[in-house]
Amino acid sequence: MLHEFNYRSFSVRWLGCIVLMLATYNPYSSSYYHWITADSDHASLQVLVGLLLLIFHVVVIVATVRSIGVVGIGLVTALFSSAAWVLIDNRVVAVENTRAVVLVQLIVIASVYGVGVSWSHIRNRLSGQVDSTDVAQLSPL
Amino acid sequence: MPSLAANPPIKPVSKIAKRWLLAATVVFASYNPSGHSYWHWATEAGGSMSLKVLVGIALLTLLAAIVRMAFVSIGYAGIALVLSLIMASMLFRAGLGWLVFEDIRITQVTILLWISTVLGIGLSWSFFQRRISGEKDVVHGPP
Repeated sequence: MLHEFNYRSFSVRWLGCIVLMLATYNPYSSSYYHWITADSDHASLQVLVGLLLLIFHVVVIVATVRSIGVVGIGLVTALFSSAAWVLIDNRVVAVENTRAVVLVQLIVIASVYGVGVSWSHIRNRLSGQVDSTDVAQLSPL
Repeated sequence: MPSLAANPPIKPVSKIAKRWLLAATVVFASYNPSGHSYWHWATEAGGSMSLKVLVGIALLTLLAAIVRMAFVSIGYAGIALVLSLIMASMLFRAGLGWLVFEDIRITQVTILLWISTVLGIGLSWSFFQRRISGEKDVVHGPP
């Protein structure tokens, strides 16, 4: 049985991107950023974790740019930003609460990541088209 | 592990029907003459501005994705062929006497149905291309 891309596959990627983003930085003082700025005893481990996070970010960003491109990133960012606007408009998120607003912005970026890594799968499932990149061109993206 | 040359059978009717339904939902949700569409809701006064913008961008994103996928699949020639097939089927039905030629009214709904049909067939065409001739439609990166 062929494995098809389904809601679960998308949710896993989306949640993974949110975890990656919040692990790198979050406004609640428990992120990699806060760790390296507060703790100076574990430099080797911090470098290792930092490089791992960097690699994940690069993989996800390259996948996003290859998959949805500038236009797609613009549209998806606008989509999730307006969703955030709806939340703020309906007092779900208080604008005065800076931490919550920063968290929402991080989740917006993470959602763009999530859609970016999933779009080629969705496109293949929906329309049968295969996204491809000529890796022999040695382009960074 | 499925090989690159895997060519499993497809279910043509359900393939087209599902994609046609998706395209028609997006097209008719954006605009339809019944008065219950995004266009009417967005242009009437009052209501939540942010919600209107959210739904508008969501519809725009969906439409952009669907139109792009359909267009790269069938292109101008495919659009022209699907439209001429629709015209020919109307002529054919008129020729058979199922409908009287003078009675054919081209309304907004008809045009929207044509658009949905072109998009629905465009979305499904890559599957048929692969099944018939083994040629995969490959996209070399977004614009």
